[in-house]
Amino acid sequence: MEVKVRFYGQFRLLVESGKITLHIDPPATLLDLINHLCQQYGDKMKRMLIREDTGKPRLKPEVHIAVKGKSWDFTSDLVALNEVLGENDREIEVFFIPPLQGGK
Amino acid sequence: MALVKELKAEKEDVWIPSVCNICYSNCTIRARRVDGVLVKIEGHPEAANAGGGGRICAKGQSGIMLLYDPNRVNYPLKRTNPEKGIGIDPGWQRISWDEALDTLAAKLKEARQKDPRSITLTFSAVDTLSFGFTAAWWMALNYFSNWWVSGAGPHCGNGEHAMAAILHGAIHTQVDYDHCNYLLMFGCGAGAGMYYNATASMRWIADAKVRGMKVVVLDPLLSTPAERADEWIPIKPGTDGYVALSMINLLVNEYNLYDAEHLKTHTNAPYLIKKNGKYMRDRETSKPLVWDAGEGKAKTYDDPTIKDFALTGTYGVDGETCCPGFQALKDHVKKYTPEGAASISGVPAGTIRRITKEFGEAARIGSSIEIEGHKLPHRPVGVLYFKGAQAHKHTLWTAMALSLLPEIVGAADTPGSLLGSNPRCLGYPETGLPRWEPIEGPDGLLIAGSWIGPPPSALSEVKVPENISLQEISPLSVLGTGQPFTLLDPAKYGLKYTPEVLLMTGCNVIMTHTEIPKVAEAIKRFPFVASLSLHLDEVTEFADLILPEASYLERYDLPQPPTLAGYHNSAILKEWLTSLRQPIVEPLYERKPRHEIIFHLLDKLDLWQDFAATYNMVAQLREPYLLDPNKRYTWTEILDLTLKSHFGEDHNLEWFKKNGVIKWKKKPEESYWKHFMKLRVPIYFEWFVDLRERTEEVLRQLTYGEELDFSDLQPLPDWGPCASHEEKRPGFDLYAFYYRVPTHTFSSTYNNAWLDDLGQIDPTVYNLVMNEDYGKKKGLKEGDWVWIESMYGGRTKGKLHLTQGVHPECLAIANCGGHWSKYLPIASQPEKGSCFEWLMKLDPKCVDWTVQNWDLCVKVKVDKA
Ligand code: SF4
Repeated sequence: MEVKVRFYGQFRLLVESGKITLHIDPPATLLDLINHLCQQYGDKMKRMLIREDTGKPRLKPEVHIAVKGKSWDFTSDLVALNEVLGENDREIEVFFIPPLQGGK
Repeated sequence: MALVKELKAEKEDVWIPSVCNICYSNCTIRARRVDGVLVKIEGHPEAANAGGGGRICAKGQSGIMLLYDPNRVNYPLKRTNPEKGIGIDPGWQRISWDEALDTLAAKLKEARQKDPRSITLTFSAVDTLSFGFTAAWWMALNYFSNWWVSGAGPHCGNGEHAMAAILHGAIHTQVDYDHCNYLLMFGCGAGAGMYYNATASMRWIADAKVRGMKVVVLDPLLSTPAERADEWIPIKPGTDGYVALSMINLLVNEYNLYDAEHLKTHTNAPYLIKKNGKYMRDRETSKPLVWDAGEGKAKTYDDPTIKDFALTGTYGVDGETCCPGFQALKDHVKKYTPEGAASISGVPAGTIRRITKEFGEAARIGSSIEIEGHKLPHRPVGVLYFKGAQAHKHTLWTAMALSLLPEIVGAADTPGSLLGSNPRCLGYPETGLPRWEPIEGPDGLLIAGSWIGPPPSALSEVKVPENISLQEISPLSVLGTGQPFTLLDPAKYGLKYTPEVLLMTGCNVIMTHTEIPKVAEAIKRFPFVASLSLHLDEVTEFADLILPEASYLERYDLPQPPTLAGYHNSAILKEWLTSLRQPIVEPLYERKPRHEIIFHLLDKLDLWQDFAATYNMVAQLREPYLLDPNKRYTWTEILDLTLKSHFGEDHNLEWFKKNGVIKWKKKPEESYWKHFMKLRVPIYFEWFVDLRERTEEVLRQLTYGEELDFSDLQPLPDWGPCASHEEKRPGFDLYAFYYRVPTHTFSSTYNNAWLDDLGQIDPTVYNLVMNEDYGKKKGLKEGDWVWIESMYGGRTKGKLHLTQGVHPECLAIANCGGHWSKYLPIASQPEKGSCFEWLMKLDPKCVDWTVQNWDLCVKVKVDKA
């Protein structure tokens, strides 16, 4: 299946066009997609996206993935990442949001 | 006659609901407009519990003077004088908006082509615009990379914020004033028009005091909160942590006043700790082990067969000796005696013993209370602390000690106690949005579900810094403070790009960061500086371009950001509240709302798609209200979609414009989440051991690594001196420290005529506050002008106020006075206070790098001017 992935924030330093189209075998999950991205862009992408040293792979705290108003972040467990992407989930957005404002 | 009647009928006289933004408390207001003129601002009666408690403070009332201040900047300006420096007039020349926007867009475009991170964005902690908006345009413009948050500058609560996240799943803490009976405050402005929920908490604390709550304030200054307290205990700056450690020692080792049940069920106190400071783990599952005193053997902490968690003793497991975290704490604090604390802090040992006993007994360990059908532990004591206590060299240790004090008596997220603000929101009943709650992290410990950025936890990462704030190396900090260091020496700090554009929005970093001349130099390193401004203040002296901004009374906004757990003006109990900020008048002159300015820039830079996609995600928009990235919206259209997404189709922008505020019930499951979720918090910060190891690994890769001290990252807090405690040169015999007053918000309100009048009534607002006895000894009198010289060589001048209401070894300097911009004629009068930052030094040694907080006490010499 064809999935369009758009990158935001510092992912753009890695994927300069900011937008790619991937072909992955159905039925695909978000985790499949993440693995695919890690294969395609190598270690640097993997280091930005996930951490595996916590017993189970998790999204990095700065990473948010959104599909049409649904979103996943480091609080999402593996079950959520293993949800099969449906027909309407072909446009996926990957954000990198570091610590930001604050201070009172 | 007929004509007169007709005119009267046409006279406009309306009350418009909106939200204040003179400080970050976001009080819900209503403003009276008569014939197009704002004539009165007051608290919104519907926001009777949250949202300011239906009232506003003096600063809120003074918003009129901000709107009509004749010194506001009203037209776009460009610099004509190429020379930049403190006190150098930029030679402003009026230009058109088209020219201003074209110039800025061209500079931003050029910088983005080199590297979007070459753009730095500043932001004020006071400026409560919609978080979704800010996050989205930052993401579009500079990949959310380089920012410089100020207003509060380095005087931030980084330590408290970290502890609030780790122990309460929140960004800060408040007290359950409805049920609290005993409140200890260390260097904190709660109840006096400062701290969070500034106005609402004045009433909450006043009501609680009428009900019988005792308030004890430890502070070097008889501050506004101390004046209202039952007891003021003067303390030397930077010693609060020592007093807290001695109180913990008394509670756990002498008075046996600790909540064993709470510690066993809700904390990691029973987890077994090895000699190396780390958990004893189960060989198979790697889970931390505890000692089941019922069966006399080690089990994993979540084993359902555990009969009784051991909190004390030592045990042999797998051939190693270990003890529960609580035992480790007991042993660790033994050296912190009240006598030791007295010699360091000046607080008599007898006083420490007395307040510890009062506090421990008031916690009513073992008692319970029924709330809405739930029987919950009742621990009616709280400990609040903020900048005064923690803005010192060992911020993290102080914050850990002060946060553990309520935790060990079980006074955390339970009725009567210290509450996170706000860890859990189950959303508006109709939509379930916005929603967040803490989650279970490694080893069964809580991770905040929503924070300002990734919440500190065992999952926190340490990275080689690439941003100018250096924040990546300090994941416990909510905001980074390294900007002047990196900007002045980019090669040393390994910046991979050259800073090109500084785009400032609503802050005065030059008066609120550290050593003023060095910060000025750092700002000069940006080839182009633009500022969205209300006034031409000190930092705008360095700008090349000024874009006049509309104030909060001239624009729309949703100041309670949907995904920011702060929800500053929501009550901690009873109700959630969201209100709409809307213009009371159309922007005057050529001022424009920030949203409009930014949208023009996004159009010119073709970045609208990035903005829309980020906004959808951060603002938690849902179908069918998602922004279409291919469509251009106005800010009011975006607000309409956001409100409908969160509160249902009927609660659209028009509804909010009319009604102003929406409230819904806050459930015990939200306020007292601890009893409805199976999560633990640390009283032994085991993961700091690993965090320190990982940090040191990164430090070894850095040329400047040796300058950054992370040795305070240890599982239990100690006390260490500030540089000021070690300054013994003759003459340097006073501790100067910074404090806040309810009259002003950081540096931003000093040109407000009403607040200025008010400031002149209170002698602690603009004057240097010195103990009367010290003054007499030195031959100084009330009203004398003096020079202050800091141990670092910085100097500033001020007028003295002599009183018994300050510790005899201290000199208190209020807020951020001492302006010098000629465009702020009220603020820049010489008798309008002194700026503390002249006394500071840009030196890595002055920062607690674990949380990136500056040490704000310096030894000074005072001489008659
Ligand atoms: S507390 Fe802050 S937000 Fe509330 S009225 Fe006062 S200045 Fe305005």
